[in-house]
Amino acid sequence: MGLYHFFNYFVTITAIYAIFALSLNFQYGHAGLVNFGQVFFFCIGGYTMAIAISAGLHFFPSLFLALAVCGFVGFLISYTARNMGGTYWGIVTLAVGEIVRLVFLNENWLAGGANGISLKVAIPYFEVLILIFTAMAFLLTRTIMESPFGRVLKTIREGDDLALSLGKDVFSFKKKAMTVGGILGGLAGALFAAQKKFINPEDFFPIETFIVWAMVVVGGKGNDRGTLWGAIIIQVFYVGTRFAKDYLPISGNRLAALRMVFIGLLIMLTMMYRSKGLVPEKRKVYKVE
Amino acid sequence: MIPQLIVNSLITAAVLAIVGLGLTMCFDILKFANFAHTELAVTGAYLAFFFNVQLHFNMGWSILFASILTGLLGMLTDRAVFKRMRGVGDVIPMVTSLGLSIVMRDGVRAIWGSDIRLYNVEHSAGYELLGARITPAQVGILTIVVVAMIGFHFLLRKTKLGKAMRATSDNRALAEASSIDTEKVILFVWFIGASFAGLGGCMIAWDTQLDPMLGFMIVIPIFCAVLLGGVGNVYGVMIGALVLGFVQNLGIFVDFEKIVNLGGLFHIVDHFIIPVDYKPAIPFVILVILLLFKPEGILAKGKGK
Amino acid sequence: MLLSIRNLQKFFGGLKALNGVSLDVEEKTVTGLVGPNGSGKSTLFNVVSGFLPKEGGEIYFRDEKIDGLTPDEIARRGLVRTFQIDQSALEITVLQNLLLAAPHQNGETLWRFIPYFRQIRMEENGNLEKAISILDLVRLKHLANEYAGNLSGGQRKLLSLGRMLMADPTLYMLDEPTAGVNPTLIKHLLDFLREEVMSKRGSTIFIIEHNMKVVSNICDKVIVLDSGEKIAEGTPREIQNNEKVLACYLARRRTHDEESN
Repeated sequence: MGLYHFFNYFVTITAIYAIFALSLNFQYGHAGLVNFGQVFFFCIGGYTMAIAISAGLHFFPSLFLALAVCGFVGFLISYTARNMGGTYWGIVTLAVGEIVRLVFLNENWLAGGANGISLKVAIPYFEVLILIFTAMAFLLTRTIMESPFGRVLKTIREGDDLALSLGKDVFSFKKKAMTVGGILGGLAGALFAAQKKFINPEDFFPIETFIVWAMVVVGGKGNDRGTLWGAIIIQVFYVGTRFAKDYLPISGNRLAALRMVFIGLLIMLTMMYRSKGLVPEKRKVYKVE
Repeated sequence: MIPQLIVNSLITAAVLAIVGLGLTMCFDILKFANFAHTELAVTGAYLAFFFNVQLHFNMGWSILFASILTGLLGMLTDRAVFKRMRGVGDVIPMVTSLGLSIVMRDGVRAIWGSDIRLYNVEHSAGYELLGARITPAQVGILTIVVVAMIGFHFLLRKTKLGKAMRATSDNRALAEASSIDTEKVILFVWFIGASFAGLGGCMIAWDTQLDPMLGFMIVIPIFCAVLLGGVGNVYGVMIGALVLGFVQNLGIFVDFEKIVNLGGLFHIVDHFIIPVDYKPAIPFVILVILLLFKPEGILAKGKGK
Repeated sequence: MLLSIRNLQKFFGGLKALNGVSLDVEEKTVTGLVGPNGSGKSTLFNVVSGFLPKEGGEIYFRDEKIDGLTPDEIARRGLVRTFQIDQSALEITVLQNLLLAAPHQNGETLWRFIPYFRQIRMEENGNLEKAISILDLVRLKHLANEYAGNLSGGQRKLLSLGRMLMADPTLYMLDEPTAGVNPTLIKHLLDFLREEVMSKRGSTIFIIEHNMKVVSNICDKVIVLDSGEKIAEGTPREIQNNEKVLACYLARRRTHDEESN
């Protein structure tokens, strides 16, 4: 791979994962919802995009469809969080993520089952478009969090009681948080499919969820800028170590495993020592005098 | 065929019960879901592989050493990682345990590789018993698990440690006030739970094969068994394991046509049998349905201790 | 009658936390709720404000039956309560805590953010002014941009009071607002409750208190609970001379002494 192509690919894939990480950060960092199955948005977004384009729809309508479907899925899933504590919901989302993948794996009529589905996308300057989407995703989350809506979300993060006692319809906020998270996750998935031009269930193992967790946790829970940094750091590490095998006497498989060990360690160490993340949340300061 | 299904169900249940025991205790006392618990099972299985295949010990000693080492490993993870998180809530330790599970799973992969491995044991075809085929490995598994469960029951009911364990899980503050060193109790719970998990991992690998993904493959069924029986209910998790074992193995043979057609009201399908490909999904679906409707667990009418 | 409770029952398993309690809170008065520990005061607050379900009885607020409503629905109708263990949003600033409390914010509705942008900005500025003046009143202005998590216990009590003022409800339900607050500040708070809340805003206060001096100072009426039942009702003076009340506190003292021996 020429250097230009490599750099191109790296930026694109980082941008897509950045959007994916922002979607998780929105749910966990901002709203306190622990989603261990975030990959299901990625998966459904990717597959919807692939199916729509294969059926003849153009790029933007397909994308819109993917966003709509994922937003709706997020909305539905939020009902499961209604009466459930954080721990149990984490387990449920992990289970749902796997169920979704198994459905796509076994239902051949949906999208080729284990054989996957390919899609043709011919957008000029596609990489630029992806970067624009990343910027938009970032702006969206930032704007929402700076608004009064975001303020309530941050309160709910620590517990429902205070917000309830002040008359805020907490469940409605959680629904919206999941919907936005779903839309962003779906955006990442759709762009991923369009960029890769071929997807199958192997692209959507739980490991994807864990990688974005590392990005969110390392970068800074609740901090969108930090999440972007987290995405860059993890991606640099991920891609960088791919070359290490050319210089080190370690087999490719072993290296891949060590890479994941390191990512796991990153998550652990950050949670143990710097649970606010490497880039802490910025405080909103008002002029008081 | 039914006898064979029963044998298979019992084996599944035995393994789920022994691994789930540790999880349900830790979940109850420390109040967080440890996603790395099932990785203790894989670690134990591969440690036994190390003793058995690489050091040429016989299977019995290998399993024993592996279980003990895994027990110690469990204690280590508590001291090094989770102890600092007492009282921080349930999210931070849970996310940390996710990271730990990755470290353990891929650590195993890094050391022993992703290829499927087998223990150095005879893999005989087994005996015929009442219409079912049962291998010596499976007989061994059932025996070991039953002995372990009975031993644990005695520990819990008849020893001072057991009493301290029950007190700590019922009400930690009260136990502390009654001059029980709860941190020490917690350490013992980790040792027992982790060594059982390691033992369970050996059982699975002995019956089937060694695979780094072994832990991840059972994480949801284990949580399912734990939640079915009610968190903290050590007898509940055994029952949950039995239920899950049977439902998983028998579920693909049941025709759910009556339910789908609402007992004859509609005629949507002629047959509704869960495809074999979806067998792994059964515990997932049960778990989701369970948590949606009764998160405390079906058997949680208070703790059956 | 602003708040009417009829025959309220709340059980925790076999324990009768509230066993048929009836009481009224009149508009524009300060009503106190006292009683020994475990008598059911906080439970009553939790049931009335919708945080706990009841097993029996009826609750009327402004002539509307509110039992069965969710806590936020009740709060939107003008009944706001504080918590005994302060529930501040610790990861946002003091000022943000107050802004949070302002009712009817358009900015909290997601889809309205773009089309109503100007209006929301004006609302925010208005709320900001209000919040700053309230911070002045509760003497927390110097901590306006500090994270609520960095405040001391007493300061957080003041903060929760500040939030109440911001929410400006019809009924203030205060759960031990003076616990952990130093005496000079308590006096300031009481004067403040009387002037600001009662006279100026015409609100009503329902307050749980252990500090009898505070109770005699501001309460028009006091209700005494013991073991989930109402055992007395009257002015602070009447309560302090009531035999039943004295007996119950004394009995508590005796058992307490017995237990420590």
